[in-house]
Amino acid sequence: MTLHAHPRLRAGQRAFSLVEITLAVALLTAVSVMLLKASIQISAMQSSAAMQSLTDAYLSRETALASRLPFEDLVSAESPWPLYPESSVTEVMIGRYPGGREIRVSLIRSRDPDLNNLDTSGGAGTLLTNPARSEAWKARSIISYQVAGRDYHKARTILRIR
Amino acid sequence: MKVFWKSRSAAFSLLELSMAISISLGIAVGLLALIGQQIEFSRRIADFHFLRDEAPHINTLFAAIVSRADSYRIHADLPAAITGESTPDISGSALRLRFLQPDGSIREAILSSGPNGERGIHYYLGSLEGGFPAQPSWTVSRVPSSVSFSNVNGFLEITLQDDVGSEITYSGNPD
Repeated sequence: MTLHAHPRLRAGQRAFSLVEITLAVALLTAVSVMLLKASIQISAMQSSAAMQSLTDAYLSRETALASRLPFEDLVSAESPWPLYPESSVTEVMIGRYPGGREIRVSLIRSRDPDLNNLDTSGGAGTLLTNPARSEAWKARSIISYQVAGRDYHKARTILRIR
Repeated sequence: MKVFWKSRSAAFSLLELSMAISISLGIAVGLLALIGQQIEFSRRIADFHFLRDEAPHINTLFAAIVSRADSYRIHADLPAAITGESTPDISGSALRLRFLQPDGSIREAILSSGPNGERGIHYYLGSLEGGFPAQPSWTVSRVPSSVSFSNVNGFLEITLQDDVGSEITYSGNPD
């Protein structure tokens, strides 16, 4: 006596195999997408951490320059820090990423007088409130940059007094 | 009773085997691509080590060292900085710092790469008698492959580079 496999049974086994294969491919695809997403997030974190270092270092340059600049140059009409509400916006190179790619950010500068400056120095002080005729200015530098599509701003204010 | 299964039902057809092998190969290629991608990302993460891990510490150390100094001179290299006899340069790979002590005396230190052009940036603290040690007193970081000091813009700028092309510049003034 010979037994023949039932045609429906064979078709059912193949259909089951097809479902298994589909599930395996779907699972692999899902894992791939998850890994890709994780990799992109890790990459963005690297960029964010590196940008913190680069922007902090560049702002140390702004602090050094504003501290070193002669006072007359700081308050002149050609000052690198224009009198607020005027401001200067320039694109600067703050460093390089691995591979040598230049990192450029927007640098915004402006300066404010201290309120107690005499009116000749942009303030509202008088000889009663400011008998020494001291003059103070706040030079503000703001770096504006993007990481992973998000906007970030970092600022330093340098106080100069004479 | 003897039972025979039909041979076709026990084995796979050529088409089935071909499909199975093709799918297995496809999955294997996909897995290899994933492994390759992970290796690439690991390499990229390692490339960011300097900017991510070292740079913040270096920034803190430079700020502390330079702000405590009373003056500085830039020299072409470490031997020139140690002798201190040559005219200071506008840029170079060694920085000689002077620190005024509470008793009025002067103590000096040098920031430079290694004694034989070794990588990294090292600190050489001068003795009270004025000499400098042959080996660094301590190391700021071993990662930078290039160290450059400059006073081109009227203040001190320290530019560091690593092997993979990262570059960062710190600035400061002695107080």
